[in-house]
Amino acid sequence: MTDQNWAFIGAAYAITWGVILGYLIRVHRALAQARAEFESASKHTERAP
Amino acid sequence: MNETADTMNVPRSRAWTLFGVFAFVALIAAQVHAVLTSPADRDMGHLQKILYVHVPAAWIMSLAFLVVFVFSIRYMWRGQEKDDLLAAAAAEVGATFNGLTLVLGMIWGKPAWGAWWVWDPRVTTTLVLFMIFVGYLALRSFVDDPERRAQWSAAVGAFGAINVPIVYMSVRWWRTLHQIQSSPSTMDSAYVLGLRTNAIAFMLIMIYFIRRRYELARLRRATELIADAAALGGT
Repeated sequence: MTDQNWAFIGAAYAITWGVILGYLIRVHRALAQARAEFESASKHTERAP
Repeated sequence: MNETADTMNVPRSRAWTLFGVFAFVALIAAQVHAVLTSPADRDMGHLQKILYVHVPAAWIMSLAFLVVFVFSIRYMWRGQEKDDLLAAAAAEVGATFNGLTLVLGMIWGKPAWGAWWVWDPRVTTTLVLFMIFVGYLALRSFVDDPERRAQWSAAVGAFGAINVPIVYMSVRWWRTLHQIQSSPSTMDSAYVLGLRTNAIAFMLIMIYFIRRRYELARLRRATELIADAAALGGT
């Protein structure tokens, strides 16, 4: 039973890190894209007559 | 909206990057310390090590939904868009930790209870909470009008968060397979430090995620406002 328990423990920590790092990457990618869109929109407005 | 200028003032802080790095280092340190130093439990053996991720994930889920509740009520009271965006950021983070709590509970349940899933009151109420906040996020993506989206979200967010105390008390109110709340008074002192440090590290991660998700929401909203202003100006 103990050996099998380590598989469950490993899975729990792997999933925890998968979710945390996955969310981190997702938010940071979306932030970079949103920042680029915001800067592009701001430049457009500055250029407009 | 008289807060347009405020929304356009999108914050960007290097201090939050440092905070994020600190939060991740704290989580790694807390987990390594807890896993390496905690003794095997008399009944559960080393399976108790799942406690250091499952319980903090559940606490942090509750904390994030408390933030949703506070800022949803604040939005209903003051009508400021910033409160709605912050509530939405906390809801997404809370739903993420809610899903994680359920999956970790299943991983613990299989060896401990002999089944991946049981319709236990604690597990079921946590699933209901998850579904409410998935609904909250779906609602936000379906409604285009920002004001209506904020009003409806505030109502669903406040209602959804009311379920948190039901989840918390479910192990005492009903006959349940799930053990009662883990706290220093219900567990061996050998596990308390590990649980506390992991809970603090998870909380730092939650604060960082909510802050970044809020920053993202404000950037998107500011871009929308610029586009609207450009369209109105005929450019």
